[in-house]
Amino acid sequence: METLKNIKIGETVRVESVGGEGALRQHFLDMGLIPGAEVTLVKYAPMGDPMELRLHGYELTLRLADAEQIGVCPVASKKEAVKKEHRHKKSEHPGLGEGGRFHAKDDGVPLEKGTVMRFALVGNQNSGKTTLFNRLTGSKQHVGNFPGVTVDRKDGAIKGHPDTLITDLPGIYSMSPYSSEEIVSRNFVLNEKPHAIINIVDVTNIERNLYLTMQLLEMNIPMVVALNMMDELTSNGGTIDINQMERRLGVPVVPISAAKNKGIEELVEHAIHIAYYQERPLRYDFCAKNENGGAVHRCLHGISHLIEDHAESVDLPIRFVTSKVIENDKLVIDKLGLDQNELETVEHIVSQMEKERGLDRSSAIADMRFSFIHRLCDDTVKKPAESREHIRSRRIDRFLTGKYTAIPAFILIMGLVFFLTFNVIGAFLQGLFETGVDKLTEHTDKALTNAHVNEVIHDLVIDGIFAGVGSVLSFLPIIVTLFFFLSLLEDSGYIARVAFFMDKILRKVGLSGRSIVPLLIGFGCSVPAVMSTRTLPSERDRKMTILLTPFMSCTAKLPIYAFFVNAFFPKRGGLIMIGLYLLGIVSGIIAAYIFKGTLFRGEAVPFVMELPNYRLPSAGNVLQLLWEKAKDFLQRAFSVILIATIAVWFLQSFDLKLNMVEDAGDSILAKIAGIFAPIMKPVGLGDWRILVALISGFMAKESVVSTLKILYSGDVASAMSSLTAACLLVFSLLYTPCVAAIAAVKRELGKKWALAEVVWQCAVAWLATLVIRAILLLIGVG
Amino acid sequence: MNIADIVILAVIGLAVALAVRYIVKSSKKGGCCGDCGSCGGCSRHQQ
Repeated sequence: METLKNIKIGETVRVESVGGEGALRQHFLDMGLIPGAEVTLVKYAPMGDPMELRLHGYELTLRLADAEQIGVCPVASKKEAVKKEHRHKKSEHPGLGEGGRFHAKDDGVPLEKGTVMRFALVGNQNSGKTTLFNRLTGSKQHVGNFPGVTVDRKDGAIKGHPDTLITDLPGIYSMSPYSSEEIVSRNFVLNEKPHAIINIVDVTNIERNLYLTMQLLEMNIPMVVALNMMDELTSNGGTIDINQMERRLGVPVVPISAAKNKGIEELVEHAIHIAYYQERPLRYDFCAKNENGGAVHRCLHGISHLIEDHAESVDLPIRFVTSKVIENDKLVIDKLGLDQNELETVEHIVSQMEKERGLDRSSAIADMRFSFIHRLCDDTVKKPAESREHIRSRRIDRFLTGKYTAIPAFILIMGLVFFLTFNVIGAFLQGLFETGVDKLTEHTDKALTNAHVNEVIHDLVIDGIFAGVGSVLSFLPIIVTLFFFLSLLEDSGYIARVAFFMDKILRKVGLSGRSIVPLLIGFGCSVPAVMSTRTLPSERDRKMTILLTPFMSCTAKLPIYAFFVNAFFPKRGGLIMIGLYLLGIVSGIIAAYIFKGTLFRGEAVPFVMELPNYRLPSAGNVLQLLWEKAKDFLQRAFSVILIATIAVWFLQSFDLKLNMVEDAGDSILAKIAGIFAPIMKPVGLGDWRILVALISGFMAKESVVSTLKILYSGDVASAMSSLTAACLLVFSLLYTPCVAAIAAVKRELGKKWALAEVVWQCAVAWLATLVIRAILLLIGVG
Repeated sequence: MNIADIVILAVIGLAVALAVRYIVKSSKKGGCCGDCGSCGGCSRHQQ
């Protein structure tokens, strides 16, 4: 049989069989790669792998090795032409979720007064959940144009309804848990039992989105379907018969545009109504009795009766567990506690169904769901031929993911981002900021002198707080500028393409293309980078990516680089900056090779990812993110760094008997740092002041600069050699991430890994500095 | 020690107290595993 791997660009084929096993195979099926589905090969990534496919109206990426497991056959090229044109008749509005229609006015069994109504916001990745969450709650969570921006759940009350609590969950494609973020969402719906679900459906990709809707309906929880991006569909000439869709699904259906704030009030009204009156879906049985001989229908209903008592005893919805038992979902089967006899009966029923239907168990269930969806969409949805957004994306992709242009374009874009940040916009703004901080310090100094303030307090304010916090503050513009560009890239949808064409390169070091996202975020900050690894579906890839994140130089290290480059290597600033970033990347690659051969043997997980359309980043969203980053930086400057600078000032100004010292070498700080001096001497960093600065950098990287400024009384440049400065730069680049990042690692992987990360990074930094120092000494840098 | 010294020390003391409060508060916030029934240790429970 021919496989998907061998088809030509532009060729459309029909899926015959889906190979593979376990969760990955289930994921293929959930993404719509089911027997009978038509798939078109759009293109290959620049290095020939992975491939971009188009199916069910959206783009999916798949590696050649995985495509080889999918059997296909040619499809009649004229099929689209013979497809009959549906004219939607006007149908009556069923009025679900509205007072006086589904039940008589003021009738029904409402929740007790004062009950806080809990809602779950569930939908596919990149369907606009967080945008809707922000509209509903008035909060300002970050949204992006990349599948998997939300990796954690967020809560808030619906505006004007304090008796509600809505939870924004990470995006999922189905209720079969594939990655840890999908488990977060599934566990929430199953264990927390929200009063109602708001299911957000991206209408520009409606078939695949409705697949999750069908599984949510099986949960038998009150639900409202929000058809998002309706404006995009209608502006391209598409329509949806909402009334008929509502009647067929048996739950309220509300068209909205979360980005344009349309339909939100109606959605809230319906959601609150169904939650308050606990109006459950009118149907969850979508298997037709006569479809394909009725094998799936009989199998579902037979097993449903067999396990009904078990489902009730563990309080799980019967239809949901039946589907999961048929799909052989071990988590659900174990929870049900079926005895051997029942398990065998289930197996017999499933075997019979497979024989009659001619499909394996998982494919048969997926096929049943997609068959219903296709019938529903044929009758209710008029799709535009091709949306303007898709045409635009296709055109842009010709260049940005083109065979010969993708990698040069990526290097050009990243180079431009760094050039504009460090040499043009960021550097200019930093200059202005520095002047402001210097002026403020000067005026404060004068004011304190005129007020005859005590000498010690004067010293604390000017040489402690202003030197420390002030020096760090001046780097705010550079950090905000870099985040501005990173957020533009993410919001536009470009980062998803980077993952697509970098997959083959990353696979060489044992990672998948999806790991590029946490690694790129790592250039901003390690904390969100570590958290974003939750989108990776394998534990191996997650651990490996987390351990590699610290090699990507975060923005908090920028003040260190900028300070030393300005002081010691002003003429070769750009070169050294790029060199440092490259050194981090190269060290990361070496570390990845070591990991691949030792701790994490084996192959990276398959690369199955959706490619979203390019979108113009929203100014509000970008500004919001910049404000959040600036606020976060300022909060750190006035909390961690303030305390660190005061502590450093105190410890270097007093001796163990709490007498003020003339020479800082007699201070408490010098005594403590002296303990570590022998270890750091071989790498040229044995000076106690440097050691103290590095220790304070563990609290926040920015405080390395502030501490050095305090300890060297502002004159670091003349007190340190170029060789020491270079060694310090290399060590700062690679040594342990800050305490916040380590806390994030602890949350994700546990205490042992967090501790191991600290020790490992310090060892790597020590070794790398030793090598670089030897090289510099050899070439005569002294 | 004059009045200016006392005022400055009080302001610095207040700033440090607020900074410590902020650090303690933010260190308590954590990610969510989704299984709140048997966990109960994340920011959601501190709202």
